[in-house]
Order: sequence, then structure tokens, then C-alpha cells
Amino acid sequence: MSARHARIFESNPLAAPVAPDLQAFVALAVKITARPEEVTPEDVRAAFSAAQSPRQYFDAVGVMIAFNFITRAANALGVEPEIPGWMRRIEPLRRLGLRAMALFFRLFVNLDGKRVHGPTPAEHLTALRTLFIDLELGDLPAWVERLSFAPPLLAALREFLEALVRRDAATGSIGLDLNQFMAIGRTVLQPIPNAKTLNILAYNWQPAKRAEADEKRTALITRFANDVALRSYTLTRDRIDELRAASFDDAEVLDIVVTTALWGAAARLEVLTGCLSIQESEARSQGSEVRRQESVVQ
Amino acid sequence: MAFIKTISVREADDELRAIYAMIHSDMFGSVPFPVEWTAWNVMQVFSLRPRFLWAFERGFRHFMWDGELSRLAKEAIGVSVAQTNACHY
Repeated sequence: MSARHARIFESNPLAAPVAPDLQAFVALAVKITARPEEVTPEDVRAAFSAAQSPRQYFDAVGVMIAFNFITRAANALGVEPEIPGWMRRIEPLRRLGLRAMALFFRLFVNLDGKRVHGPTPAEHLTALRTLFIDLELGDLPAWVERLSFAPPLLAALREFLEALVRRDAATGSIGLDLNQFMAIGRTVLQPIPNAKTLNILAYNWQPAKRAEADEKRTALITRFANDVALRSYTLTRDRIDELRAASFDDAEVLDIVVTTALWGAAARLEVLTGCLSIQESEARSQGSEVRRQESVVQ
Repeated sequence: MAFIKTISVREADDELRAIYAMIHSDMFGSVPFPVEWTAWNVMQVFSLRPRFLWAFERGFRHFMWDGELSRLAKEAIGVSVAQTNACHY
């Protein structure tokens, strides 16, 4: 992306002069990030129809979800750009440093497309079903099953959930506090009621009986998770210190942030894909294939 | 660099160092930069849980390199989300 385009997107993404399909994706990206509860099936179908193929739509959704995840985690954990502290304190120098960083990326980072090899969608689905059983969450939601149309989304969902839940890669055992995991889930999902199946799943889950001390820790976690989910840019080092004072170590703080960001990403994924039926995806796939063949003949 | 402790390439154990090397190879190919230069802060923040870092790297590959959408479109969507979330990183 050129520096001029980047500046426009950084100031007002909705004003960027881009092709209609990209405009539709950007509008949806802004809405799903800021006001996911207002995203309607009509918004989703409009962006899906604007895409040149279903795969393009699902690719766009993947980027929306990935950046929703990473920007919340980076804000909550105070990740600083790779420019010296003295430059960060003076706005023009900070901008200069960020521009130099972007130039470095453009010059040296290999942007060639890379195929990601790994398990098939069917294998990812099997692994996710097993995870749901091990977490006592019941059946996999139907919209997750339908993600076999979007292998990168399915793969990323499975890989991050497994990384979070199965701490010991060798044994695959569940190493996560399930009460904490689900308490964070309920907190994150509450303002996103249109992620219907995840809300049902979280509210039907029965927490185990806990001691009073655990209740206090859970209350602290959910308050922090709520801020990560809704206003991650306001979080400061003091909030991490508050968790440390309640005996959380830094790895556990990371767990809380990743769990929160992952629930938020999964909820947005349901909103952006849950209303699309298999038939719609298949019909659009066939349509875009016919158009591709026609353009080859011409 | 971040609010929580992170593990640099120099301090990393074999598992973590291998993931840093995988990221370096994906991003820079054969450009001979040291791995220390390319373990970005946003990656190091996951270093206390190497499996998260691995999943993050895989996710980045899935979403930014694979697929049919143009690189420009992916960057535009990414910047739009970052701007909306007020993430300066």
C-alpha cells in the first residue's frame, strides 16, 4: 500500500477512494470492530455479494478477525512499535520512525503469496469437535461446520483454540481453567447478542462450585476482560499490576488477554459467517467459476 | 516494550528459538538479517506461551499470504481495523 493510501486509511478508512468491493469490506470491517452488535445479515450479504468470489469474502473476514484479535492483544499488553523511546515521545519523530519502519517492511519483507500446508478442513473439524467434547461444550455450532468453505478461517480457529486450551502439546491435555475461560466468554459475548450460538453455549455452561477467593479472582478477571473487549486502548500498566497484586503471573495475564481476544474474534466470526448458508456459498462459487471460464474463453 | 515480561531470541529455549527462526524465514526468506532483528515486539509479547506464538505465526500466514484477496485489500482492511481500535502498533 502506498504511503498516501495508508494515510487516508489511518485518518478515515470509510473515505478512502477504492473499488466498490473493497469499500464494502472496509465498511464491514469498521462496523464489526466498533459495533458488532449492529451488524445485520443484510450487511453481511451485501459484502458477500460485492466480493468477486466467496473465497475473497472469507479471506476478507479472516483479515478482519485477525486484526481484531491482534490489535486488542497489542493494546491490552502495551506493545510498543520498534522505534526508540525518545522518538516515541515527540509526535513528528514518532511518525518519522513509523514511516521508516514501514519502508523497511516494504523493502525487505517477502510479500510473495505462500500456500499454507497442513491438515484438511475435515481434519480441522474433527479436532474442533473433539475439543468441544473435552471442554464439555456440546456440539460444534453449525456455522463452524460450514467454515469448510473457508479453510484458513477453520485452521486458524482450531490452531489458536488448541494453543490456548491444550497446554501440553505432547499429551494434548486440557491445561486451562475452564471456569475462567467461560466467565471471560460470557463477559465478551454479552454485548454481542447477534453471536447467537456462542451466547447460548456460554450461558448454558454450568460453572463448578468455587471458593470465595476464586469468585474474587474471577470478578477481577472479568472486569479486565470487559475492558480488553470494549476499550483496549484505554488500558495501562496499572491494570496489569492490579492483576499481579492478585497473584496472577505474567503468563496468566497473557492467557486472560488471549482468551478475551479469541472470544471476541470468534463472536465476530459467527456474525460475519453464521447467516450464510452452504447453498449461498455453493451458488456463488459456481457463479464465479462460470464467470472465470467465460473470461478465459473471451 | 510491553506491560508483561517477554523472552528475547537470546534468552529463548530451543522450542521458542525455532519458532522465531520460522517467522524469520517466512518473512525475510534468504535476506541475511540476524533473527534478533526480526523478532518483532508484537511477536515477542506471546513468548511466555510459545504455542500462542506458533499459532499467531500460522494465522498470519493463513490470512496475509494465502487466499485470493489482493495484498492491498488485506492491508486496507487491517489498517481500518487498527484505526478503529486505536491501535498504533
